[in-house]
Amino acid sequence: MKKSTIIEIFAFSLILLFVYAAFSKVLDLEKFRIQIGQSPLLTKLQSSVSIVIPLVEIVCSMMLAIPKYRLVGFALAFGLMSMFNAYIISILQFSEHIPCACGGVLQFLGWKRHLLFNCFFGGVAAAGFVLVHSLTRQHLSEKKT
Amino acid sequence: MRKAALWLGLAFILGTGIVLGLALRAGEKPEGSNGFRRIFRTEAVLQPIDTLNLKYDSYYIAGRARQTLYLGNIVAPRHAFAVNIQGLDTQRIEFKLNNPEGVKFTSVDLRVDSPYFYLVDGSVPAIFEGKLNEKQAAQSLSRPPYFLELAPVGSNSFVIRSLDSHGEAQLGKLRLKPLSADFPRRLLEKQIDGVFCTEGMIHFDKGANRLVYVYFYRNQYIVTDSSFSAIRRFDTIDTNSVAKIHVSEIHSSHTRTFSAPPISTNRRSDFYNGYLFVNSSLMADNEMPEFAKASVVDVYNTSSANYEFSFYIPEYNGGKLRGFSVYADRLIALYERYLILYEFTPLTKL
Repeated sequence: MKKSTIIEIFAFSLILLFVYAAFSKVLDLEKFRIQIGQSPLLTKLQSSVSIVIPLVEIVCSMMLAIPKYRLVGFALAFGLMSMFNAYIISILQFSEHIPCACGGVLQFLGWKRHLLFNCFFGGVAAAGFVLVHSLTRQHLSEKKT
Repeated sequence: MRKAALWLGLAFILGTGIVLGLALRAGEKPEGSNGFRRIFRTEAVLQPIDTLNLKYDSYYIAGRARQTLYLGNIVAPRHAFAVNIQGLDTQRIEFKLNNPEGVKFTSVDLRVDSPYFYLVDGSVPAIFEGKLNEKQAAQSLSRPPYFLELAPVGSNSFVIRSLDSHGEAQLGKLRLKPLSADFPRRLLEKQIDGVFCTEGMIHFDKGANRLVYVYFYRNQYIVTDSSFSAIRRFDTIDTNSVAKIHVSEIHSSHTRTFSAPPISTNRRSDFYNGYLFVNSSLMADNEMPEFAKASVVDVYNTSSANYEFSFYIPEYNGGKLRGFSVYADRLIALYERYLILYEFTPLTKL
């Protein structure tokens, strides 16, 4: 498969993920705000976080859609995934109150699976970044010669 | 290639850095004192005797019948352990469920009131009843009302925490044969929303016919009996007299829920021989920073309302305490996946 095709697939899957994630938050903003409020890490930043996160996700998917900004888009996606993973790991340290206080252990399983899921898409973003980076360098060196 | 790695590294550091900053800020203890002191006794130090590896972290303390402690399992509700508190002898139990109606559970709790056990789910609602020695439970014929919490207080008799006609959570009495449920007295006092602000733990000592309700979010416990005839309200030693919780409604799903992390004062508790043991989450003014590493337990006399003394349940293998139970000169503590049996003698000297 051509490098550019792989890049398209990577970018598309990340766009799909972020657009879905952002819209599921925005469509029920009230619920998302309350869930953010339940987090011991974010409770003081409730209003700003509940707007900024979906906004950044949409900006990221727009960057991934426009070839000119794709490189930055992949980097941003990787940064976001790292951030989400760091969040999951640190929230587990506050195990007394896990946001959405339903079944303790079931919640834990959910977090672990979520972590794996994020690692996968973080990997996709990193690979996409490296591919775009190598392509542009190739492009530049071809131009020079 | 090196440049690419550099950029990705930068993105990684930025992403995790933001969260790290937030976590450090959230972990800071609020300044100022909590305005109360604890009494520690030199002889109230736990001596570990034995350890049991449960292999899974899904167990919870379901109840105690004399010196046998029953552990339920959140993930596999039909699986349980019976543990002898004197020596940690353990018996695996597999309950059989006679469920011809095919009731689908959402969250099942095991309750034990020897010789009976109950598998209950207040959101179905359903109560399955069986005898411990037969290990087989059938659904009660009469349908109970929805309940938030349930404690057996005698054969065919329960205390439930359930919504009354005003939509407030109250303690009520439930019988199944024939079905009757009522709220004879308004035991729980509304402070904020009437449901979350009155959450707590129910303990019942059959021999003494004494029922104790410990609020999670305020410095209070209630002492009464199984028919709620005499009600006494006592304070725990801290100063959180009003629940520090925020509750909001999610209109899209018609549910009410916490909108900020609740601050619990009384996190876990047990009741033995007239003494109430409360694992508090608040640090006293005369405590050292090691408070954060151990779980502090305050002992109250439920007859005199006296605060007796406090002691620490230490951390084990870095795991946090998830439950504990006291019986005679023993204290059993449940960590993530370990049960530790401690010798605990100060009760005999009170």
